[in-house]
Amino acid sequence: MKKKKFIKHTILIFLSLIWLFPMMATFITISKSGEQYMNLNFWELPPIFDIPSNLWANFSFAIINTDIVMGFLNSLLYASIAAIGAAFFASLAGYAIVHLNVKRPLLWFGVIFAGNLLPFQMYLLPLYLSYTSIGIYDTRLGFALVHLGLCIPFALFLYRNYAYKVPKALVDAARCDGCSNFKVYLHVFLPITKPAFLSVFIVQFIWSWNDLLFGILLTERARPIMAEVARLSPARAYTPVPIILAGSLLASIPTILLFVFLNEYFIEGLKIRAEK
Amino acid sequence: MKINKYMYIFPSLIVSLILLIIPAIYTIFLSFREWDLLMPPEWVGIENYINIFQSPIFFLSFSNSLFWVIGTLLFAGGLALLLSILINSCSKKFRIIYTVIFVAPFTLSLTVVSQIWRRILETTPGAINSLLVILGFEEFITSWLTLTQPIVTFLSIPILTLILILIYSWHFIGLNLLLFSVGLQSIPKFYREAAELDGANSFQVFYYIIFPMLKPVTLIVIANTIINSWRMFDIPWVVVGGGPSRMTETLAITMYRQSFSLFYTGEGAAIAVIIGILGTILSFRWLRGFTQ
Repeated sequence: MKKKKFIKHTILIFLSLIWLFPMMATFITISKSGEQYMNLNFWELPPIFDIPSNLWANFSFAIINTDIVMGFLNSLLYASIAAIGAAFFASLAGYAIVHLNVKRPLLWFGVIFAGNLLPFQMYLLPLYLSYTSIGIYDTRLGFALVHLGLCIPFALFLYRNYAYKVPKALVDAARCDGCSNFKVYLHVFLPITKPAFLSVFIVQFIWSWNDLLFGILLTERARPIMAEVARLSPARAYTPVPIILAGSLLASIPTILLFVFLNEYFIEGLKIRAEK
Repeated sequence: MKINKYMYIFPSLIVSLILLIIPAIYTIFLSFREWDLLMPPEWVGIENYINIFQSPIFFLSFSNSLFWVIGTLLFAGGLALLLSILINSCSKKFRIIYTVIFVAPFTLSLTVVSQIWRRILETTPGAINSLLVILGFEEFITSWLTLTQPIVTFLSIPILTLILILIYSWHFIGLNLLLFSVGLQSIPKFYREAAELDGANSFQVFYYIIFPMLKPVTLIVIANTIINSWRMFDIPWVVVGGGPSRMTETLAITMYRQSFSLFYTGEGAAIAVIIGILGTILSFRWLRGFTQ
């Protein structure tokens, strides 16, 4: 039994070291100046007194002299619009499909959800062509709209699943008391399905924040954050590597925070996504 | 004021019709035309499909994409199962420490992960080569980002593709680990204990008790991994730009290059259709398990 435990921990510690290796590499890199990065061995720490000033210099350079901050703000806008909008639209549609006796509920659901079955590559060319021809290419409104559209099918899927858990009796009772459909939605349906709203919001916010493909396709100046991060390179506008990694870490702050504080909603959402 | 009940569906319907459904259909239409965005488009039938099936670049990127699916199932899926079993048999303190270590990379986006790994694989100054120098293995110093020697000889898939798959696994294993852990914790303890009392060894316990009970979670992991890796774009794009000389391109990158760098929009659309059809088949095969 002892031997088994020893082997188990050896494997786990070995793999942990591999998993920590890139993290350590990142922290060592951002504690150096660009010059130290080029001249010292990769794993050699700079003189200890240099570290705070290097960190400060790298992060402030990333904030002031690269477009990271602009991308950050753009993405806050895109991800908020897409996530809140998708959750809101999907809650309306989910409510109608499950609780309002619409004709052919499965058809409506199927048409909207079909967008989630296809890989994104199916949308790229027509979106690019239409965006350039009607002049919303590289606009914030146009880009937020694309992210909103891409979020809706899955949001509806999740919301519809959750809507079945709302007791029909409760909806009917509220209606008997003289509530209009919209009042029932506002005062009964929305409050009960709050967990679904949060799941949709988190999964879609993180998706939108991390999206690179649509960012490089549809924007030039109104770039979202990951398109900015992908552009950071020593070859372009001489950006030293420590600054690139400092900027990359800044770009990760929102997703790290969301995941740390709300991970149960995220995992719930992903489980359902995979079940589609 | 009374709102028509179909008005509730309308916003979602109109947005997904305009932005997703109609574009997808239009892509199929585009795949039968030849158009460089300058000259007037020309109807060419299935010529685009014939062209891409004869092109060595498409063949390599198709092989790379298939290799991505297999590789990620193995390293992001299989390894996660192994890890979750090992971790779940630890005491609570170790379980939390290990879980945090393996899940941490998942909170970073793929673009950030790629930026970090690029610096690790770089020849000089690169993290791996510098470590080799410190450890005294100078003869193993390699130019990792140009490792184009084939790993599967007859398909000429480069070793670099495998490295990129391992980067993805570094990022993604945490999520699968969490999913498997949820599954493992839902298995009642006395099932195992009963089997052990009957004299089953740990392999038998795994094969006859744990694995069947994990089936629902396993299907989620498989479907999720296939969907993500089949359309992989970010990692090869940011780490090596699909290069050197287009050797690590996946189908998603080839589609992007043909359409938006070379402006063979017909061929780009045809590749998109192939990604779409095969992607749907690949994931449906596994998703049927859920509906039954």
